[in-house]
Amino acid sequence: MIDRLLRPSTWFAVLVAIFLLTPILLVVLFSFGKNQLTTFPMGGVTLDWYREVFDWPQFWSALKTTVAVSGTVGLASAITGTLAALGLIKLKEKTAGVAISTLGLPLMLPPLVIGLALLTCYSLIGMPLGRISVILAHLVYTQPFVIAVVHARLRQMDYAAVEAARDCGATPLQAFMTVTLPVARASIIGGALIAMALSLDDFVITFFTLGGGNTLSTLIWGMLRTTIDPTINAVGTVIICLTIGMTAIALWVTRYRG
Amino acid sequence: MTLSGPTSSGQARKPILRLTGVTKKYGRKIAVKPTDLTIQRGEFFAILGPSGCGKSTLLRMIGGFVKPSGGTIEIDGADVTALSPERRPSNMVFQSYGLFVHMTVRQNVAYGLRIAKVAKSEIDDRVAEVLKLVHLHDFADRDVTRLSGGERQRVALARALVMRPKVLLLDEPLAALDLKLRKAMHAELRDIHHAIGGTFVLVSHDQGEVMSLADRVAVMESGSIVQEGSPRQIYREPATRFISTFIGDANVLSAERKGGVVKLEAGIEFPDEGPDTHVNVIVRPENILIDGDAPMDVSIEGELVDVIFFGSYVQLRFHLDDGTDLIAHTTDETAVCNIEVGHRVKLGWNYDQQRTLDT
Repeated sequence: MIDRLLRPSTWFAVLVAIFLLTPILLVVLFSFGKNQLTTFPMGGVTLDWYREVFDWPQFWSALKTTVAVSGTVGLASAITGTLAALGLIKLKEKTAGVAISTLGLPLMLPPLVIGLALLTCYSLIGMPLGRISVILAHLVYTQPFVIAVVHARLRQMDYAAVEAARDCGATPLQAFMTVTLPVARASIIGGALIAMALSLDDFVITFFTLGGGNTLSTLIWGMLRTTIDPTINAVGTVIICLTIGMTAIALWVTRYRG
Repeated sequence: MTLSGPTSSGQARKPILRLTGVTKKYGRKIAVKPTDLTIQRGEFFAILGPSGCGKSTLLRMIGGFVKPSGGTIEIDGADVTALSPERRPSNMVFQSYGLFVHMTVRQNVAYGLRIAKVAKSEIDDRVAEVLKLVHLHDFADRDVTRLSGGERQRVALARALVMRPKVLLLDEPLAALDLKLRKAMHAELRDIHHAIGGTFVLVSHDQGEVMSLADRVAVMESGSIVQEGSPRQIYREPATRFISTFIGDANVLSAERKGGVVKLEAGIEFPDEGPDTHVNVIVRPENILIDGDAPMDVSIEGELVDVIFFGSYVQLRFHLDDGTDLIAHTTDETAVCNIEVGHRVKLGWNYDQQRTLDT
């Protein structure tokens, strides 16, 4: 144990962790600080910034948009992702792998490019910007996650079980509901939660495709342009909690192999 | 019988399963060539062949999992060719079992009856009955993921049997089990077949399994049935050289027939009517006579090069003068004790133990 603590690699890992986590911890810390400026000393602990945020109508409208968008994105990507995975499972593993990589291409593109491309596309087809356009934009990069997760689960499954269900008299729909879905359910829910967390976080693509109004992330950006004020930290902490909560549930759900 | 079809010939048994010209093509590749097959009610029928010969495809077409490219499939007189699996009176035991991993043994077995909306009390009775039949009654409430390979296999069997299929299809059901367990399951499968008297169609690449289970066997090779008959018949009178070596061991001796006389490359001659052509003479190793005083129709000299002890028999390998090897099996160990490796021995066999196949 002591040996392990003394190893240089351990120290390096600790330093990296500190480097990565400190800014996040500072955001949370300063959201409770009395000081107007986000500097030390904090000058005491307060919930004023949260009070201010929660009294601010724009926050609530942004939160509402965020919940509506990421909720819909989660649900929609779960449905389309599962359907896609069901289709892909019929292909050979290699072919399906190629298809999944192709569908996952948006993940490799810079969000800036996706945002710009979508904006151009929307204006070309005359699609008005708003929640719907943001939801569709988010689906572009959240759906591949759901497809990958659900597909991986279905690959592990013995497909003969579905055939056996049919053999025992089940219609294709009955076989899906009683055999495939119970096996894939955890990964579908997990995939949907990851999609929601991704949607919640996104700023760049949302910024390009939202038009008017705000989500939480565009709200923060707007606030940053005027003042750096601890209310930003309060909003930031709300987002951190939502994202970590969602991801934690996703991890917990998908690790359960029922 | 008050009704009889115009073509039925009174005494003839009505087949439970009839395939007529059933074929399967994948693109330009033919997996199953047009095949006719008739299986009688109550038969334990086996389709035997090496992997990739199309036997599984044929079985899956009977079960409704593969759509034939042509031909018709009838079960109990009804054309089922266009029906999906859930509408066929057949049930399948899959090679990988295909168990419902999120259910208990009982739930797995009851699945089909639940789907069919059978009354709860009847489900309980039938499930209990079939679990008893496969010796799983003590495991009923266990999760299938906690079962051993052999137990899982029984669950798959029970799940199919509980549906009381007109035809039970077994797709290499024992392939995943180790040898000892497989042999135990052979005995059990035979007992089950005797007990319920249904029609079983087994697909296997294991000739020992087929010999010990089936009443009748069809041997498949590259997409078509090459011989059909009882296991004994196929062993005794293999139709082709391939079958002779696939089912059991065989010495295949190359020979030439000219004017009613077959001349082996090893130098022996014997009369045999037939066209002038190259032939193979098939002799089973257990029919090779070694250095005995017993009269033999064909005799030849060979040098003993190898002895392998197999327990119930001893395998001897002889080198003939023309370079071919001759394998002999004997259960008589005293016969072997007198010969040492390197010795030249008189070998032979009788005409009724050989089979000459034109090539």
